[in-house]
Amino acid sequence: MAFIEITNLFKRFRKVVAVNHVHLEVEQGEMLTLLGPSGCGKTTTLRCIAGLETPDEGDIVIDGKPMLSQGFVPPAKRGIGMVFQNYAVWPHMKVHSNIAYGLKLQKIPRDERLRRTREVLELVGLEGLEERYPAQLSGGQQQRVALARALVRNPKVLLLDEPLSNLDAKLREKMRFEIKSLVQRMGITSVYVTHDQAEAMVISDRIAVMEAGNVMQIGTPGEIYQKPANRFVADFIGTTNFITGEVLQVAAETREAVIRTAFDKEMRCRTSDVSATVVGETVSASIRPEDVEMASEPSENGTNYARGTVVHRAYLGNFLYFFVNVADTMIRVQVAHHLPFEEGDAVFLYLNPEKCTILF
Amino acid sequence: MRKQNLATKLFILFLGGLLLLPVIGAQAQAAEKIGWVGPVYKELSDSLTKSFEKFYKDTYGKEIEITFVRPGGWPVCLDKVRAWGDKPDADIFLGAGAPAHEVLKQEGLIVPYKPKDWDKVPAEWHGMKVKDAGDYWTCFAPWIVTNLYNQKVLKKLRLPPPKTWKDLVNPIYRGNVISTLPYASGTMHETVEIILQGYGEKEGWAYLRLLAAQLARYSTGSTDTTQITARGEVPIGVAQPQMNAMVARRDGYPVSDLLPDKTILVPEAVALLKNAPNEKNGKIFLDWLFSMEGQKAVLNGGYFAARTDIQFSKWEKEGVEMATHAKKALGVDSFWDLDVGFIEYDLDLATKRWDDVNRYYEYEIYRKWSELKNSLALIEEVEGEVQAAKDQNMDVAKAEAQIQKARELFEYDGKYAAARLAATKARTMLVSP
Amino acid sequence: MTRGSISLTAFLWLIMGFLVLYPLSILVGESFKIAQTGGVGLGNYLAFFQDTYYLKTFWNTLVLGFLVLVTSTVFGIPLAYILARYRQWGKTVFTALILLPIVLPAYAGVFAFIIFFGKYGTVNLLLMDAGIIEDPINFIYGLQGLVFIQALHMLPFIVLSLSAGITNIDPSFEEAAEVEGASGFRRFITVTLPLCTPSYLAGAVIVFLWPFTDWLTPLILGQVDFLPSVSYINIAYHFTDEHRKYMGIVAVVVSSVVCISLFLLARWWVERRKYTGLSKGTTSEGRVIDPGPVIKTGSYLYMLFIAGLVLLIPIVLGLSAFSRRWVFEPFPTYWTLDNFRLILLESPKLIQNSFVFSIVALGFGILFGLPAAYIIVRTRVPSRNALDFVITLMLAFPGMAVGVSYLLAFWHGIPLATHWIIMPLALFARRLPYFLRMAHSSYLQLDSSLEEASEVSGAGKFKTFLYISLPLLIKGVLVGVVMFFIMAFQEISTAIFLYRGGWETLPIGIFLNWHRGMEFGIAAAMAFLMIVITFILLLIISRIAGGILKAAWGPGGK
Repeated sequence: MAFIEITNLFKRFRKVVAVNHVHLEVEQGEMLTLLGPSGCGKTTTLRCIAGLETPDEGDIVIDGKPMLSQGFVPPAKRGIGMVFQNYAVWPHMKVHSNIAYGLKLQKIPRDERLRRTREVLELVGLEGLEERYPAQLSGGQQQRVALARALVRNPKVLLLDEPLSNLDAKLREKMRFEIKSLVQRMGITSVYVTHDQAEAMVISDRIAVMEAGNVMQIGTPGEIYQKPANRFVADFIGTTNFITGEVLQVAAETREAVIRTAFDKEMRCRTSDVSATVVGETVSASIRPEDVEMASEPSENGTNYARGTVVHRAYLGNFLYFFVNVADTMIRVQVAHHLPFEEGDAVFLYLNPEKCTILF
Repeated sequence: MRKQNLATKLFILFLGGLLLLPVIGAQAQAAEKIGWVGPVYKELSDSLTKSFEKFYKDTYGKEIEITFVRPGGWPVCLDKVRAWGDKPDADIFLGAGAPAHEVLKQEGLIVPYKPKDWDKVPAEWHGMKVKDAGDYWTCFAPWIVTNLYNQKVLKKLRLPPPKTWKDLVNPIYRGNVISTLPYASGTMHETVEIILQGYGEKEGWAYLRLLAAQLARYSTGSTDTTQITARGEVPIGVAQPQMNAMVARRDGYPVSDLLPDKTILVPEAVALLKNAPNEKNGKIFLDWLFSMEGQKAVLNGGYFAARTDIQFSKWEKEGVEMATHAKKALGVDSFWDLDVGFIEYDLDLATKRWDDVNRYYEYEIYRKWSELKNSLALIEEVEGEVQAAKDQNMDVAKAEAQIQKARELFEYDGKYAAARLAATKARTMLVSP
Repeated sequence: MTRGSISLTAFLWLIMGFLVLYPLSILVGESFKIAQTGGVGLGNYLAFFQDTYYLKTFWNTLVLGFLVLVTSTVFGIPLAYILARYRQWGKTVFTALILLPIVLPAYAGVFAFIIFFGKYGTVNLLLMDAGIIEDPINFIYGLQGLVFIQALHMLPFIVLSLSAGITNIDPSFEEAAEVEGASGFRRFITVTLPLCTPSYLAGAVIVFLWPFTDWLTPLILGQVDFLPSVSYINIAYHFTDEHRKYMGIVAVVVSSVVCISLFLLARWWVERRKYTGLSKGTTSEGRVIDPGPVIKTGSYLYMLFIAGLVLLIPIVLGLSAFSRRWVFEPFPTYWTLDNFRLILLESPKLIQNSFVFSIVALGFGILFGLPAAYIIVRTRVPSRNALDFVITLMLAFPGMAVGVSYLLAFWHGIPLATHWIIMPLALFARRLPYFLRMAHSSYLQLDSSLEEASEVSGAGKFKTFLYISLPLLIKGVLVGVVMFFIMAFQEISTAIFLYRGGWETLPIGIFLNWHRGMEFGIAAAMAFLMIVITFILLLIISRIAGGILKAAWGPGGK
């Protein structure tokens, strides 16, 4: 039994379906990230967990207690803490009052309130700022206040709605690790919403990629990146090359296929879905730029090679980036070492069949 | 965006049009004009306008354009004429009693003119000037200061209509009387003056204090008093122009006036303004106003006519509808046949002490109104206790003397706090003689 | 700061100097005259502050302001919440309806209430007929009636500013409180309301100051001891007592200083604590709720209750307009069209005058108000705040005093008062603050980078204004236009002192036809006509942009 179980969650706003029969499970102490482009339903899902939205169908179970099917449980009773995208730090209250607000409502005695507030402020590194108004704090500090407020009541679940999107790049990177280590230390089960894949990679134990109200794939960051379940995930996470071609043959047992590419080469690759890979159909195979090898000569066996011309060469410090034109298909190549090719040079690309996957 | 641009263009076009307006709007000049300024009701100005226009057309074969300006009550009208200075925007000051006209005369804002039939208006009436000896102003619509009561409400309250001034201060009427402040209304000021001259200053102020204690509240002005009384909000209205009662009765309201035992005439007067732009027409108007035709127009406007040779019964036969109402309201056939308790009025004294009377009333009665009421209530309470003790054949001589002293302190000296103190002392004397 | 904006400011100052400072200085100058000696000095002011009566009056006015504010706030909060939060049918009509009380000349509205709530008014008569009460109850005369009528009159300002505040709150502030465990009411008290304070305050100041300027309502209700009423009586009825007049003017000056100081204090406070700037709002609409059936019904009932009170005015005036001799009867029994027949003879001229004067005043208002708003919001010309101050000054002076000073200023030396243009000029000067407020807030909401982009593209300041600013401001400006027009349309206290024969407007017509308090059918018919005209204009406003109207009386900025 997972700590949070979301079953068949469905929510529509007038005619727009925001969440389309979603199933999700979050284990205790785990950090799950809902990742996807804007409008994919990730925030709505989070708000349903928080109780700020009431879904039209489905149920959410937190720590064995259903939030919907046995009567709606209001946000306050769900044992959650939440950090909002714009922090929602109340501007008319001092830092201290902001954090202690929830404790006060729980009628926790003053001494304990003070102690816990102090502790949590220490935890987020804001000691000594209790008496300030939010307007006197920087964006990062306000963010920490929001975090402190969410944590002070020792919630069972921490919900974070794009908490870093309003910070500048440097601070954002720093805060990713801070949040991650804080949550890990406290062992709180958390759900994190972001549209930034790098952030998701860094922070999550598992990622649920969402699109148009549907969960496209759930997995660890590594699984999501290396074994994307479909074209959308492959495209959305990192960069990839799509090579279209007609299926020539399929081997069901080995999950291998041969396609004839748009640049008229036979190419071996794996397929993610054997049954969907039908001979004669046009499909696309995905290969990451770093999985493409590049050489001036083809290797002996000559399979999965394509000949192209370097169109652009970009130096990005820790690696080199090439755009190679293969009979009007542009293939991106990323190499971590120096290669002597210049723009206009003819090259051979090796598309490793193990790394090349037909996706749907 | 397109729509907004269109809106903007229309807006600019509209603005441009606006700027042209003042240019287009230049007024056409009428050949003959006359302007009136004054506090008379529009009913009168309408009636006068209609009749005078006709008269002018019939007599001179020309149209006359009449303008009437009434910026407010008569002090406001006076202020307007003052602001005009020697360049008035009207020819005639229409309405307001003698004091206003006396001030206009003193400040040099009006000039003498003796209208035709001027001699049909009496020069004096129980000490009240009805026209100025120097011909500066002449009364065209006399009325007397009266009190108004609402028959219906008084009946509901089972109270008899108070017949005299003394009746009015009977505690049974407490809270059922309304008046305005003497500095907010000429009529109220005249009423205060009537009391002061009719009873003498000492008794007069004593009476005014007692009257103030009767009031439900102060009204905004005498028109407001009429309104409140007619609607029954407060059944008795003090200080009312008599013709207001006539008009209210005509309009079907259950009101009557009281024709008090002491009153004066108020000569609603008319005068020619200095440097009047249409002096000739102004004079024509004044002549006409005192003609029989003009006087009928006055009556039709809801004011009493001023000429001595008028008989309402005769006008009634001529089909003047208002004559019937006037006859009923006055109970006589001509205004000047009225036989009420007129006091001998000293106009000069009244004019001289105008501001002082107002100020005394304001400082000693109005501003201390709640204190005044509390003191009187206490005195009456103790008086009742004294009387009760007396009825039980107790010896109350000392307490009686003391409470009498309290009343004197209250009525004659206006020392409300001291009066309360004295009353309390009288009460202690009652307990331990 | 360019030379263009400096000369524009100079020009605006010239006009304000001519139409505000010059006439008002004549008046204020009188307050320093000593009646007894004919000299000049501070004696009157000393007398004012040493006179316990004036101090009591001053205190009364403060208390009244407070009571009116509290009452209108208590009734306004639910209304503002309903209008801002609930998704409901009929918002436009209700918004227009609650605006209705401000647009009528005070006495017409008060009189309608007297007819309805008076001792022998409809309510009392019905209660007595039903045998529920023996003697009539005094509902309206006295402090309670005064507070009720003034609070109802000022309700729109509270509701508009509060609902602007509620709309502008970022929804997440409240959601955060919800997650923290605060229930609906608690959340409203601890989070929603405090966050509304800046915008509430902007409206509250105007409400609080109303008793400092409204002299007529207290007088009609038999309450004299308030500063504006006392100063009105002193000025209007001084007759030959110069000292009385000077003291009246002193009272005006003192109360206008109080008014303007409070106004500026509130604005300063609001600008210091601008909450909304902190959050990056996610929705422009704010949080909108679909209420449940019980709350929905309740909120409709509440809106109907307020609307009923507001609608009493046109209903009662309408009944009076179609009847005669409506007294001692709960409803009129003698129906007639006579009143309308009579006003049809008289009114076309009055309606024409009303429209011409108001429209010309409006033209001046726009031509002056837009540049003034520009100078105050967009430039750093040194005297811009003083300009704002001077324009606002007019709000605090009673119309009668303005009328007197205008006649003194423009009759002899500069004979402007002989031309009818004085009427729109006076209306313009008196009602300008209303337009300026709208233009000012629209300007604040316009991102200056839009204008800068135009200037970078090579357009001059004027062209930028014409092609960029004005089209973007047009909605707000139009609302300001309608608001200004309505306020100019109902103006009486200055106009009545300035008008010459043939210049009568509808409100003057109402005043003149107010016969000895009996047959006021003609006046009622005119008032009814005014309500109809104004209500149509109001519907247009709330149609064009209820939101802009709110913003204008809101915190003065995003």
